[in-house]
This record gives sequence, C-alpha cells and structure tokens, in this order.
Amino acid sequence: MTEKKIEPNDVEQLAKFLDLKLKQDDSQSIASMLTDIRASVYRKASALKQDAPLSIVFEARP
Amino acid sequence: MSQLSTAWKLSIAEAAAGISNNSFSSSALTRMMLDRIAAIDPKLLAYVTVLKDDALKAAAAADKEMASGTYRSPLHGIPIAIKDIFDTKGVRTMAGSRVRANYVPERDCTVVRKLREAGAVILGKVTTHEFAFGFDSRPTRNAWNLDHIPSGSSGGSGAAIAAGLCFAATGSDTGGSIRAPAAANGIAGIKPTYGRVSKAGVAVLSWSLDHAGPMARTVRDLAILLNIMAGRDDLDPHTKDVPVPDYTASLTGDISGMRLGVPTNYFTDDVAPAAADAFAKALERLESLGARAVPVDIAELDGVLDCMLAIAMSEASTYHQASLRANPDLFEDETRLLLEAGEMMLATTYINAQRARVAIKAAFREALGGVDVILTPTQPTTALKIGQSMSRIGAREESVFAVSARFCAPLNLSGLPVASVPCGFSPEKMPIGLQIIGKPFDEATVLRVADAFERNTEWHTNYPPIAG
Repeated sequence: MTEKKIEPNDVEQLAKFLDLKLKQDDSQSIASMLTDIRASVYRKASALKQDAPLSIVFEARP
Repeated sequence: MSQLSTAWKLSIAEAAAGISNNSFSSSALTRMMLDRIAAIDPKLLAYVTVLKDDALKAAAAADKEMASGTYRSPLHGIPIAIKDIFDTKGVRTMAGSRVRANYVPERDCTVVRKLREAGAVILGKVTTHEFAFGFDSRPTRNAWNLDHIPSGSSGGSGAAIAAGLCFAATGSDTGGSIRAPAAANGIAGIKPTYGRVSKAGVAVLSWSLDHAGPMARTVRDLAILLNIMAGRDDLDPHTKDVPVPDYTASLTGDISGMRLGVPTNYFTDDVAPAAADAFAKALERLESLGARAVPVDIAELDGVLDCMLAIAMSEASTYHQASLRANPDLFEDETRLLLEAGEMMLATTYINAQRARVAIKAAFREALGGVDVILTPTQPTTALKIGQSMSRIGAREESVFAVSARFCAPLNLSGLPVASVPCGFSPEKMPIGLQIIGKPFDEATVLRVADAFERNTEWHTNYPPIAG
C-alpha cells in the first residue's frame, strides 16, 4: 500500500474535487512530495503499537 | 561604554543602565536607532515598516514617565522590533504575503501588548518568510554577508539585531524559525516550551508546532524579554498555567556539576566541518567550567522531518483554505505549492505523524532523564547563499528546508525549550550556533547554561561589517 506512488493525474483529479486551481506544473512536485511523506510517516507509524495514543498535550514536567 | 554613538552595541541590560544613569535618554536612543535604520537598512532590507513617529512618541512618553519616577521594567524605553506576523494595532501586518497586503489589526497581539506595557519602544516591523513557512526570508540579507540568506523565518529579526538596528525582536518558531536565523546571524534566541508564551494574535502557520519567543544579542536580554512575554493567556488555549520564574535569577554563571547530554546519533550526521569543530570546542569550554559531558542516544528521530512536514502542511492548509481558493495567485509559488499539497495530505498521514510525535517526545524525555540539558549544533552548516536551492555536506545533498530544519524541527515536535547562542565562525566568517535543549518549562536551566557559555566566550561581542 505504501509503495504505491501518487501520480500527477491523481493530484489533478483531487484538485478538481477540492475546487483547487493548481499552479501549472505543480502536480508533479505535489505527487512526489505526498508520496514521500506518506510512505515515510507510514513507515514510522508502523513501528508504533496499534493503540499508541494521539496526544498533542504538553505536560509541565516529564 | 555609555556614549550614544556606540550605544547600539549595548545589551538591553546595559542600555537600561545608560537610561537610568542619564547617560542618554530613550528618545536619544530611539533617534540613534532610527538613523541607523535609515543608513543601513536599504542594504540589509530587514524592516518592512519603520514606525518613526510612533517610536519617537513612545520614547518621549517613556522618558517623561521615568523622569517622574515610574519605571516599568528593564525594557522601559528600549527600542525593539516586531516580526511582521505579530499583530500590531493600527499597523499593517502582512506576514510577508500579498494575501495580507491590506490587513491592519484592530488590536495588538498578546506579546506586543505585554512588551508595550513593559515600556518597550517599537521601532517597526521586520521581515518574515511568507507566513513563516520557509527559511530564506526574502528580501532580507544576512548581516554578515549580504550575498547570503539571513535564514528564517524570523530572518528580519536576526539580521536587524546583528546589524545593530534594534536591541531585540520577537520571533516565531515552527521548525527552527527563531534558532536558525539566530545562528545564521550570530545572535541569541530561545524557543520556549510549547504553551509558555502566548501566540494569540500571531499569524498561524501550524497550531500544534508554532512557538513564539525572543531574539536578542545576549542571553541576559533573552531572560529579560522572556520574563515579560511568558505566562498563561486566556486568549490562547495552548498556554499553560505554569509559574513563570525570574529568568534573570538563574543566570549565576555556575554550571559546575551539571550534566550535558551530547547526542551520539542523528545530530552527528553530516555536519559541516566548521560547525562540528565549533561544537566540539563549545563542549570543551563548558566542560572546563565544571560541567560533565554525558553521551545520550535519542531514539525515534528517523523520519522526523516528514512528520513535521505532514503536520505543518496539513495545519497550514487548513488555516489558508479560504485564501487559497479566493486568491491563489497572491501566494508565493513555493508557499502555494506547500499549501496545495497540504490540502491533499491524507488524514491518516496527519494522525500518524501526531502519534509518532508522542514517541518522539517520549524519546527526548528519556534522553533528558539523566542529564540537565542536551547540546547540539543549531544547524549542520552556515547560512546558504541567496538563490542556492540545495545544500551539500559531504555526500549528502538536501534542500534549504531540510538542512535548515534538520536539527531544529525535532524540538518543535517535542515542544521542549531550546536556545541558540553563537559559538564560532566558519573560515568564511559566517556565524555558527550552539543549541541547548532543556526539560519542559525549564527555560531557566537552558538560559543558565547559555549564559555561562556566553560569559566565557566572546562570540557575542563580534559585529558584522555592515554594522559599522
């Protein structure tokens, strides 16, 4: 799943759905960026336990 | 040193003493700074807006108050600058973007309100990278070499302080935007703990990664500013009700017996020789003061930049959702690209990045368990040249973003307090910074170590040629 690349065509389709007017030639860069970030974050999260918490609260002390 | 002509070299503490002993007035100090801005800033391009009349009026009021015996704080009558993403009542706050060309706030942000109440004189607004989403801070130049970037996003703050065009400035930091320009321009800066300083009225880049903090020439000045800026704020739900100590009281110069964590991984990867050498010498100097270096391994840092990007891009795109549709052409190309991509980030990617962040925080907590602070180079290398899109250190080639955020962004994800102080120069005479990381809400210890280092080195007493 994570190996699948997002293609510029996918980006252009999604932009239509999102009502976004992409700047010309941005779709290739966006596709690369999203593919890389998604794969990297997925790899990192895969090492977490399935029930590892989501918390952005910062405690006063460790 | 109390002559007005050289007073721009003074720290805030020294300038306050000069006002107090009648060596000069706030009005004279402010006029001197305004004259310097007029003479030097056309080359440096750090100021977006200069508030000449307002500043002179505020300085005159400060002089009158102090003459009548009212002394508000060590900042009373001291001319400072404000990064142009902090709202200032009645003064255009563009956040470096044409999107905000006509935005004139009706009120001050909390930080500016507190600074004014403390008696600060606001000289003007200084450059930010567009919406603080980058590191080159166009069109501002590096104070040490006009062919180089001042880094960012608080590049105007860093360059203006280094060139002696203000005594201090505000900064904001989402992936290194206080520390990177502090290091690049040879000055000091601190990103306090997440929740320590209010962000109410500061343009959002990323709600969960943004921090506001001070930048100045000396560590004592950071402590003076943080005393004023810190504290819970009803207008910012992220702020914590944690007591704010007097940070200047922690500046004892004594770090004997302290344990300094020195990472054995991540922060040692692909560091330019000059930065590595300056870091090693800084560590030796701190050890000579009686502190002990302790090797620490910090887990969970692989993929940290992608986690930061997933969060920052998703949150920034949410903030700019309406503008990106109404006026996409008003954004700079690179900002627009990041926002467009952020719109398409999967919710699962964003949530996984936030979950990974919990593990990153825990890893830092563990590493800090046996030490008082952790030290790293602030940046792997010195400020890049204007127009340079890639950095090369050994075999590693990376973008301006990656090289600028690599050592800084982990501390935005962890929310920990972290300062940068000057610790050397490259052979090309470009400044290098030392990063000092502390435990949550323990800015006092971070400042104590930074101050001890500063007292025993002379890096902060160097001035770039443009300063005169």
